[in-house]
Amino acid sequence: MTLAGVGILLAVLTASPGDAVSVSMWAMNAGVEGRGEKKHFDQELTPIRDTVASLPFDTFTTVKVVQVKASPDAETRIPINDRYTLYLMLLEKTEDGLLRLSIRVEKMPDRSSREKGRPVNAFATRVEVKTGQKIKFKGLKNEGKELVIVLQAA
Amino acid sequence: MKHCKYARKIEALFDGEQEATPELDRHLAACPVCAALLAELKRLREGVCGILKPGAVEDPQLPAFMAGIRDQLDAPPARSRSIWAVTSLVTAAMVVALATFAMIKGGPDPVRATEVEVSTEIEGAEVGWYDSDDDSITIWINVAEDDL
Repeated sequence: MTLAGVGILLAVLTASPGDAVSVSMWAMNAGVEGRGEKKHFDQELTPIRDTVASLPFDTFTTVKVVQVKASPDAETRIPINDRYTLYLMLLEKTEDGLLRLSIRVEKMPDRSSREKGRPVNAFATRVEVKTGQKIKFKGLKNEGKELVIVLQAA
Repeated sequence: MKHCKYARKIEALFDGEQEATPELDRHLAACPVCAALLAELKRLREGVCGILKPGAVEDPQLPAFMAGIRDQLDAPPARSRSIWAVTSLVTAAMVVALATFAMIKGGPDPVRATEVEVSTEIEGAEVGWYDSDDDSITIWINVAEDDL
């Protein structure tokens, strides 16, 4: 059995189907456009403005905003654009409001890639968060800017 | 008890440290004190030897004697078993009591560190994470420019 198989089996055993949680995702391009201290955020990014404001960028433009369910049954697939796809799965939900999530961001290969034409996990994470706590991913390049993804489980 | 000046010599004679002499024999025959002393010393010696001498088992006693040995060999070590049994029971009871106490007591929530595992399949890339000031978790990747 593969590691992923073991992970899915553990998730199914530790959380029941009714334990699905709602997860909001904000994906944005972050760049520097010489705005100085007056940073720009697209309207849809207002809920996570404070979360990304500390990053060294002055312009944040929406790529995708979506709300999905993360369940222990299967990975929830969230296409961000034609290059990146986020996969989300609930591994465990504790009585004291802690959530263990499996999150991976898959990157499709491009012509200059060395990855022989197969998609690769740009990020593969297992993270334990409190309900409402935000997780942000940074560092992936997208359209000449940096792709920033923020997740929040309710 | 009366004392005679020959008493030391009688004791030495009894212990084999003094050779019998005609003079001592005559004195013993004439002195009731020394005769009584010698008799008492002999009686004490016999008593001591009786204690130290292992008891002989006569033929008629042999079956009972052997049966007694068999009984002792066959008998379970009840006392030591019961000690271990009691010790085990007490230990088990203490474990149960402590576990029950810990479950009922509750107490403050344990301090839990943030748990994050992060990896990447992008060749040459570095990944990591940190807790941000706004209570969010930041997971980062550093990728060589030509890989993107």
